[in-house]
Amino acid sequence: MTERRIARRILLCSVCLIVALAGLGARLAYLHLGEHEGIREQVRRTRHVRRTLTGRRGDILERRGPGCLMALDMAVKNVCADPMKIAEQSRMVDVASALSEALNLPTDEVAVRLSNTSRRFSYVQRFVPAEEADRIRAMKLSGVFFEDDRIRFYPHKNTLCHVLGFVNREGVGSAGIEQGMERFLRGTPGYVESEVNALRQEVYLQRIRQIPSVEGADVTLTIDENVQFVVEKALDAAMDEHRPKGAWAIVQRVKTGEILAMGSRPAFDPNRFFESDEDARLNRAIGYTYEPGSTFKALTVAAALNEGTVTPQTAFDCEHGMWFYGGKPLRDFHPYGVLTVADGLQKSSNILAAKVALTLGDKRFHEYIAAFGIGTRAGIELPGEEGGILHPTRNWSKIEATRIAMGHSVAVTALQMLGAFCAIANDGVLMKPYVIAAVTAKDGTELYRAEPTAVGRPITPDTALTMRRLLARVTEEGGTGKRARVENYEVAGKTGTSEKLVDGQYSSKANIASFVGFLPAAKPELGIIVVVDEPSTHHTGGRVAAPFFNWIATESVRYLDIAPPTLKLAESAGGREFAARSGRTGAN
Amino acid sequence: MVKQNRKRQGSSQGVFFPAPLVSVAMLLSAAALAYIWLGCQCEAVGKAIKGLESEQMILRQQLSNEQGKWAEMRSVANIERALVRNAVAMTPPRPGQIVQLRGRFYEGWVEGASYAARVARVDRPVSHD
Repeated sequence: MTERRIARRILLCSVCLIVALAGLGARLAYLHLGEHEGIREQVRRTRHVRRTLTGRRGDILERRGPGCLMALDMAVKNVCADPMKIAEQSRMVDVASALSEALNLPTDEVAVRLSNTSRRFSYVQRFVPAEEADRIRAMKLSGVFFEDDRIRFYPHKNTLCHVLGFVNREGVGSAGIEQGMERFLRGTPGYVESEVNALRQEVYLQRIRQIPSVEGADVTLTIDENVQFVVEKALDAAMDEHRPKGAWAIVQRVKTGEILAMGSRPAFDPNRFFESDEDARLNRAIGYTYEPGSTFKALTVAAALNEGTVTPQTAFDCEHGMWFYGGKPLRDFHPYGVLTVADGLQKSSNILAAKVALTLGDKRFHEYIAAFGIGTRAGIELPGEEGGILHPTRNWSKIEATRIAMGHSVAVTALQMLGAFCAIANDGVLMKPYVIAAVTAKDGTELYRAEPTAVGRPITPDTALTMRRLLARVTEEGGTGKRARVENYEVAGKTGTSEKLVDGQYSSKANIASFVGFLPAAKPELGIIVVVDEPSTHHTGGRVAAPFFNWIATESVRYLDIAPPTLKLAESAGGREFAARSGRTGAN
Repeated sequence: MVKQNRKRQGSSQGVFFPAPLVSVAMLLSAAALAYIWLGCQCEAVGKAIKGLESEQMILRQQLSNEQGKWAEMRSVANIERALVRNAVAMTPPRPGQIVQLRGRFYEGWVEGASYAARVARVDRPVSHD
């Protein structure tokens, strides 16, 4: 080849190269300088990503605060698959069998989830614990990948389930505290706007905007984990022993209205709320109204004592167990002749309670019942609280007051009934019950701090003291609630046995047995109510509910360091006065 | 007369490139290199931040998972199961064995003046005493 030919070829190549480069340059200039917003936007869109940063939901803590977690968010993984890729590699059977073994799922179920081979994404299993996901990752299955997710975790399982509630699959609180405090617990999501490279990896230098997520605030409850455990254990025992439809109990601090424990049976595991039925999810302590039966007599007597229409020594003829009023018979469980108000309450005479109520008149009686908080919601922070049923006096029949006096024709929740008894224990001051102690943001800022709130004073301190003494006699020898007695402590309370309405008629077989009281009677600290719905072995409150009251009270005073008062109620100033008026010693 | 070598003469003279221009070119090159170096540094820092961000996220996840496990382990029900499993019987002291120094349950706001003040403000809804 001659030098000339070589030179010509080099020239030709150079010209071609220059032309090509000039063409590319011209195209580049045309694209960059020309009006091609559409194309530019397309490129921007492809490279632009917006990633949401989920705000962690706040924790729920028991009364001792940090470290005592009742509910928290846990990181989990979603196991995802690319069915198209798996099918292309003809590894469907291998992947399905490996995943089914690792996830403990039937192989055919996994195969179904991978069956849509036209798709590039499919969930194999959601909410898989991180350790399990790591084991699957180690298998290096082609076409299987993972997605970060969060799940609400309740470490105590069904303990306190009705108070805590649960969070649904969308992360929204759907019952209990989770629902009631949603606005505090829910975190605020943030986001990151950025650009990605050809490998779809974020280029940090191209990060456009970053709004960090805000974690939800922590909610501290007034619930004491240990008292709660005692309550739940007692309720489980009640369910085993009496095989009832349900059982529920509350422990309240008398002077403040703080709820220390609240349990309900049947229960459910909030971690697996979707497997439970509505009946199990019902918090009977606040959401179930029932006719309180004889426990209501305490309110009747308190009202009459407060009005001065009776004294503890006022005697009534109990008609030997059968009394006709308004053309309708009223019976006592045991026939009695003449009883004083004090004895009538101790022995739980229906006829005496009815006659006491009549001394008040409908209007005054209604006023007192309403003042004790019956017929209106107590205002606890939990959703689903019922207000009970208390009809206005214009709808009362002639015999209505005689029936309400013994706890029929009126419906209450256990929370209301306990509140009324705590008012008697608290010198007549009715406190608002509450279950939230504080709400604290993650940076330590206190967003809310509960303060005890007095909502009314239905009776005077003197009447309250007299009532405490009268109710203390219920657990003494000869009273209906002696099974509720706690060694070394004086317990004041009242048994209740009410017949349930079945097909519009009161049933003698379907009962609600309850015991509500407080201790120590001389210086009340704890109010406790136990309700058992349709016990099958025994029926009365004294037989069914009182022993569980005893169980809860015994364990609670021991755990809470509540010392027995040095003076018994009868030996205190008010007690001596009461004994002098009634001509009794405190020891009967 | 000595014959002159034209070629040599020409090449020895070199291309004319003034010193100030060389300095400017060198400065520009240095600035370009510094820019590239800074760009690389920024990218490295960005990568490090991203790495730390993901590490922080993983650690937070691990922390919450461990907190959950710990809360589960120390639940009263679990402790009781552990006691039964290990045949440890615990009986509470009898009342006679307890020396009560001060009940902590009595402490708190109820003993304070604020409680009395709050209670005193409550209006009684029922007028008859």
